[in-house]
Order: sequence, then structure tokens, then C-alpha cells
Amino acid sequence: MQNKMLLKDVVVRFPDVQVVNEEDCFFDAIKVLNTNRWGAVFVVNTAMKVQGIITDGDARKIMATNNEPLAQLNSEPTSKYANKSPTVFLESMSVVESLKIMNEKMFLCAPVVDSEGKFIGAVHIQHLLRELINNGTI
Amino acid sequence: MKIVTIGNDDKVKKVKIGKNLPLVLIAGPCALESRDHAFKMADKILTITTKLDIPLVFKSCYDKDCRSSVKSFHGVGIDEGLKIFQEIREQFQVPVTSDFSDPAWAPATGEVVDLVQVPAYLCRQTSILLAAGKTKRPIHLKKGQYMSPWNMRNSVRKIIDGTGNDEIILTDRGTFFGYNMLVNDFRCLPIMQDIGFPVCYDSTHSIQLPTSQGSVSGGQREFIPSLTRAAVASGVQALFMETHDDPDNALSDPATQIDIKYVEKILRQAKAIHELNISLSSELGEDDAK
Repeated sequence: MQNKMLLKDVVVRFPDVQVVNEEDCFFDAIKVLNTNRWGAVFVVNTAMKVQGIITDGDARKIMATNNEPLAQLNSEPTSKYANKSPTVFLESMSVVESLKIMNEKMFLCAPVVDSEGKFIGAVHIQHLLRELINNGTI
Repeated sequence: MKIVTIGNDDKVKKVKIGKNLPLVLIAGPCALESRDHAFKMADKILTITTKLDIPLVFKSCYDKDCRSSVKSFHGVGIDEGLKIFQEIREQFQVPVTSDFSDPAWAPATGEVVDLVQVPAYLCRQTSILLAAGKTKRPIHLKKGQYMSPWNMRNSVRKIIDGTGNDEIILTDRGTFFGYNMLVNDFRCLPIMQDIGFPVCYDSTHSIQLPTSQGSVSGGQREFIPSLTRAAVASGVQALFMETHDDPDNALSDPATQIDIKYVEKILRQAKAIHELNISLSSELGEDDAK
């Protein structure tokens, strides 16, 4: 039987999910990434529209290929380094459907937006699996 | 890159600063020494810039709050100074600019000048930046001698986020190299352009040896022409120069103001290099080396 649970029922909502503004310094993003335990940090604009995502892997690649003085890298806007086209889920999407997409595209977490495209929170594959386990679906 | 337009009203010839636009000159005596001297300098500079077809913003200062000694000439003061600026902009139809060192001076300054300058030493003072932004005039924000070019983004954000004013020009005037010595790191020009605003090179303060002569700043004027050429070749949108008809006896910054008799030659070179830059950029494309 297909589970009907929707993302809006399980999403971890902002501000429990921290975000950084696209104009915030890259170092601000790294600080959030280092402490939020999501493996990624979500980048938004002042209207709370998703502008990108920086994952642990992205940060590692940025650091490994960076030639600038560290202070310069730290000072640049987050938007310069964010993956600007992350997969974004609508809150009306089902948990099962989102898990299929995460599995196919091999990513662990994603921002969730409302019908107006505004960031409301995020989901992590572990949260979603836990919900399905608790609910007896798997 | 943002295009910044300088000129409050139709009484002056508006000046646009931006990518692939003509090189702009911001120039004048370091300090307003007297009404007569300011008029004489405005006339001399305009004669040159008109001949060379270089857009000019006349610069001076009514209060020199950053002098090395309390005994140094401090300026004619805000009331007298703004009166002189007003007369110059109306008589010569040229936009004018002055810096200010106290947030309380900003509203009156912004009422008169077409471009509000933030002194380099004060470039991270929130009260100064917000006061500048609130004048609603374009802002000439000079990079502090102690600041990295990338950290100027924070000063820019203070102005934009605090006041909504995003008409900003960034300027390099040299960076401290140990004590009493400035050097130019021309990497700072494209780095500041990357912030999104036109960049200006201050070719006279860059050769300053700050407070190297006890209670007075020294300078090596002989390097002004070569540094100017190098900065223009690096792709700046504007030049800033303090100039005087008798620099050795100037009341402020005598060691760094360039004698007006040398200005035309330097500007002819700068204009030619700037135009070559634009033509090469059109022919070969933007810098794309990685």
C-alpha cells in the first residue's frame, strides 16, 4: 500500500533549519555547515527564495581547488559558491516520491518550498526513512 | 557592473562612471584653501579636461580632520566650504565632491555636493557609512590603507543594507606596507570590481609616505605617472588626483599633490590607455584566464 504522507507533514521547518543569505560571507555558510548536522547549508535571498545549496562535498571541492588567500575566500558572498540549481521539493509532494528522487539522483537532503516557491524548511533522507519506519510502512 | 551617475541637477554636466564608459577624473586641491584658490584650480583643471574631453568631478575638502598634527591647517570649515562648492558647481557647471569626517556634517554636505566621499581611514565606520548613504547622493568609498579589497564588501553592504543607497564607487589609495609606507596591490582593482561597482584609482595618495616626516606626511610624486598608467591599464573606470598650482606650499598634503603643470601629460596617457583597453576588450573579449 502506497504511503500518503506528504512532505509538509514531516518537513523540518525554518528556523529549526538554519539558512544563510546569498550575500552572507562564505565563512558564515561554513560555520552553519560545520554545526547544523545536515551535511548541507541552504542559501536564500531576502524574500526567502532558494538561491542554492552548499554541501559538505561542495565545500571540500571549493577548499581543494581554491587559490585565493583564505581570508578572501571567507569574505566572498555565499552566492558565488552555491550550487545554484539544487533539486527543490514542493511541500505538497509525497514522502515516497521525494525518496525516489533522492535515491535516483543520489543526494541526501533538499530544501522544501511552499506553492509560492518560498523556503519553508528542509528534508533529509534519514528523517524521511525514520518517518516511514515509525509509521510501519517499511 | 553598476553605472553611477554624478550630478544632482541640470546646473552641472552629468558624469557617468562605469564599464566601457570614458575614463572619469575626480580632481582638485586637497583642501579648499580659499575661494579664490579653489576657483583658480577649478578653472585650470577644467581647461585641461575640456581640451582632452575627459569628464570631471571637482574635488576638494572643507575640513581636514585626518591631519598628522593638531597644528596643521584644518580647512575653511563646513559653512564657508559648502558655499565655495556651491559657487564652483554653478559657475563652472561641473559636479563637485567633498569628503566628511563627522556623521553630523553629512546632511548639509549632501545638500550641496554631487558625490559624497567617505575618507579611507573611516571606511568601516558604520555611522559614517550610514550618514553617507542617507544623503541619497552617489558615494565615493575609499578603501582604507589597512583594509583588504575583499573586506570592502562589508562596507558596501553596510551602506546598501542600512540605507538602500547603492550608487557607490570604490577607490584604491594604497595599502600599508609596514609603517609609514604605502604600496599598490593592483590585484585589488579587479577584486573590488567583482563587488559590482566602478573602481577608481587615487594616483596621488597612493604615493604617500604617511606621517613619515615627523608630524607631516611625505610622498614620492615621481611615481605618480607610472602608477597611473599601470592602474588605467588594469582597467579602472576613474582616476582621482589631488593637484595644486604650487604643491610645495600647499596648506595640506604638499608632498602628494601633483603640480597642475604635469596633469595634462598624465591624463593624455591615461585616456589613450583607457581607450585602448576598451577597444581590445571589444576585439578580444573580457579577461578569461583561470
